[in-house]
Amino acid sequence: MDILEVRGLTKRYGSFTAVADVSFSIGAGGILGYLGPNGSGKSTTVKMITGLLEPTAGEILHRGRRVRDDVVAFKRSIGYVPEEAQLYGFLTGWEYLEMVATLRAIPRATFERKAKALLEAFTLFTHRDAAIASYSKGMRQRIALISATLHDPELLILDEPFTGLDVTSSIVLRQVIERLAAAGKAVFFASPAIEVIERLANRIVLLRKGQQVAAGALSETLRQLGYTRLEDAFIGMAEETDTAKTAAQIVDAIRSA
Amino acid sequence: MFRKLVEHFARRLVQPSSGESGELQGSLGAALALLAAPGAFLALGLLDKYSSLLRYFRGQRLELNSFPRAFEDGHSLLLFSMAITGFVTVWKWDRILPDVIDQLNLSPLPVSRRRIFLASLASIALVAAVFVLDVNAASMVIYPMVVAAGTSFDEFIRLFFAHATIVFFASAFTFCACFSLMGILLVAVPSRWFRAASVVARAALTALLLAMWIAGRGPSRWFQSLYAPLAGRPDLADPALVRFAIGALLVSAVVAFAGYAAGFVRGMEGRLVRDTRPLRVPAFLGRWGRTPLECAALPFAIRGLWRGESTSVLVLSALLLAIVAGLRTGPAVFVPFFAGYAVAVAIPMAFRIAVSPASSWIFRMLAQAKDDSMYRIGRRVVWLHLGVFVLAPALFFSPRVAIATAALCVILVECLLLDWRSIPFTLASQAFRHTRVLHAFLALLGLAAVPSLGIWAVARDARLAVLCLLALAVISGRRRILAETYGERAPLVFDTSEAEIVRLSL
Repeated sequence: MDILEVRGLTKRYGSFTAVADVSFSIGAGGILGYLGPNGSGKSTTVKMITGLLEPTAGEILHRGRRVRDDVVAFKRSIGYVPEEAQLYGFLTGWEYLEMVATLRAIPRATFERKAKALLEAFTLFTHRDAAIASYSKGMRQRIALISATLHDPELLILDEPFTGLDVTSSIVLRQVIERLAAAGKAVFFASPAIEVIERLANRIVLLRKGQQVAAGALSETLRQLGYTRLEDAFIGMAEETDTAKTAAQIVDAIRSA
Repeated sequence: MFRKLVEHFARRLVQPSSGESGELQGSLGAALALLAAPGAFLALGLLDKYSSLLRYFRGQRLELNSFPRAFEDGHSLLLFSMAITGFVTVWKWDRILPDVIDQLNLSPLPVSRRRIFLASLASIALVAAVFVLDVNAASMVIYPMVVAAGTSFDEFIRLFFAHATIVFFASAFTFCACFSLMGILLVAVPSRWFRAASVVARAALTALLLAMWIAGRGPSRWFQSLYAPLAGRPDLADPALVRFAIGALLVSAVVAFAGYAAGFVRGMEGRLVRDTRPLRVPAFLGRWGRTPLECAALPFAIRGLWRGESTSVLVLSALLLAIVAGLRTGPAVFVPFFAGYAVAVAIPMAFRIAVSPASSWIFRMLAQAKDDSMYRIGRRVVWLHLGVFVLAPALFFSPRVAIATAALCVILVECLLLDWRSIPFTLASQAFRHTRVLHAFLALLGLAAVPSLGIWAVARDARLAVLCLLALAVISGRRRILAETYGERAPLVFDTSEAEIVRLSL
C-alpha cells in the first residue's frame, strides 16, 4: 500500500491557480523527486501535504485513509523540512529540538540519546546551547533536518533541503536519504536541483506553472518523453525560459553603460 | 505537552525573536524589576503619607479613618496599572498573535489547532497575570495596609482582595480594549493595509494612554467606582460608573476573544500578510546631496523611518501626544511648538533603532565619512518631517508662529544631532537600548518645558528676536564644533554585534 497518495490536488488563490490537479503516490522505499522551476507550485504542494495550506480541491491519502479524517495521526508519521528553516530565534538549538520532541511525545531518554547523536553527526553538538538567532543558514537547515527525523518518520517531506548546506552536509544528506529509503521509508523531495533528483529519485513529477506535465518512474518517464537526461526533459517540458537567451540578456545588461 | 506549549508561547511573548538566551534571561529579570519599580515607589509614597508611625514622629495628628482620603490615591495606582498595561499591550501588539514562524514550526507537528489555540490563550493569560502582579506587587500590599490602618486584620484582607481584584479587572479591561482594536482592524481592514492601520492605531493608543495618565481621567474612574462597594464603602461608588465598568470589561473581553480567534486562524494559516508595497519617496530626494552616498542615504532613511514599525509608532505617537498636550495647554496656536518639539526629539531617537543589517550593507561598503555627511543626512530627514508636519501647518496660524517654531526646532535639532555620525537606522546602539527608558522620560519632561520657550517668544517681537538670535548662535557653535571634530577624526560607528531589531523590505 502507498504511504502517501495525492489525487487531483489543486490550490487556487482567487483567479490564480498555483497548483492544478496534481496526482502522484509514494510507496515504502520510494524517493519521489518533485521537480519544477521557481514558482511552479512545488512549495505550495508541500504546504498542502503538511497541513500548512488548505487545498482548494483534491485528496491526500495516508496508507489509503483520507488525511483530513485524522490529521494529527498523519502528522505523527511525517517529518518535514521546509524550504527555508525559519525557527524560533530565541530558543537554543537544544531547546528547539526538546520542544519538538515534547510535542511529538518522544520519551525524554530517547530524545536525549537521539538528539545528541544527530547533533554530533551534523556537527552541531558544540553549538547546541547557542541561540538559533546566531546560527548560519546551513546550521538552521541542519536543525530543521534533525527535528524532522527525531521521531523516525515513515514519510520524509523535504522542500529544497540542500539550500544553505555546505558540501559535506549535502553529501551526507544525500546518503541519508538513500539509506532511509533503503530502510523502507518514503521520501518526497521537492527541488529545482535536477542533478540531485536525477541521482536520488526513482520516481519523478515534473511541474510547469502548477500543472503536472510528466509523472512516473524516472527512467520510464524519460524514455516515454524521448529524453535521455532529466535536464533535457526539464528544459523541454517544464522550463518556461529560453535559458541561453536569458543569460545573454543578463550579460548585455551588466556590460551596458 | 500542553504545558510545554504554554511555556513556549509565554517565552515567545516575553522574549525578543533574537539574541543569546543568557542575555535574554538577564534582560527579562531587569524588565520585571524596571516595571515593578514605579509601582513600588508610588506605594512607598503612600506609606510616607499615611503611616501612623511616621505621622507620630513628625508630630502630625493620627488619622483613624484614612479611607476617604486614600480613595483618590487608590485611583492613581489604578491609573498607573492601566497605563502600564496599555503601553505593554501596544508594545507587544504584534507578538500576541501567531505568525509565519509559528505556522511553519507548529503546523506540521501532531498537535491539534484547538490545543495550540488554547495553549496560546493560556500563555497570554499567564503572562498578563504575572505582569499585573509584578507591576502592582508593592501597591497590592501597601495600599490596603494604609487604608486598613487602625482596623482589624480581617479588614486588611478584605481590602487586599478588593484592591487586587480591581487592579486585575482594570488591567484586563485595558488589555482587552487595546487588543479589541487590533481584532477590529484585523477583521475590518484589508491585509495589505493592516500594517499601516496598525501603526496609526498603536500610535493613537500610546498618545491616548499617555494623555489619560496625565489628565487622570477616563475608564480608571469606572473601576475606582467598582472598588468602593468591594471595599465595603458603597457610599463612595457611582452606580452608573459601576455598571459601566462591568459592561466595558465584559464587552471588551468578548471582542478581544473574537479578535484573537480571528487573528489566530489567520496567523496559523499564514494569512497575516505584512504590507509589502513599496514606500514611494519623491524622486528629488534621491538627488538631494553632495555625494552619491548622501543621495542614496536620504531615501533609505525616510523609508527606514516609515517602514519600521517601532520607528513609525515612536514618531507618530510622539506627534499625537504633542498635539494633545498642546491643545490642553492653551489655544490651538500653541500646538506647533509642541509638535515641533516632538518631531525634533522623536526622529533622532528613532534613528538609533537599527533596521536589519542586511538592509544596510551597501552603506557599510560605501561609507567614507571623513566629513559631516552623516550629520547632514540626519538633519535633512528631521527637517523634511518638520517642514511637512509642523512648519507648513504653523504657517496657517501665522508667520510669527512658524518663525518661532522654526527657531525652537533649530536649537533642538542642532543640539540633538551634534554627535550623529552614522547613517540613520544602520546603528544598533547598545547604549541606547540600555538607556531608552531614560531617554523617553527626559523627552517627556522636555515636552512639559521646552515648548513654553516658543510660547514665551511668540508673545513679543523682542523675545522672538532673542530666540532667533539664540538659534543662530547654536548654528554658529555647531559649525565650529563640527569643523574641529571632522577636521581630525571622524570614524563611522557601526555596531555589528547587535542582532536586528526591525526587519524591513526596502
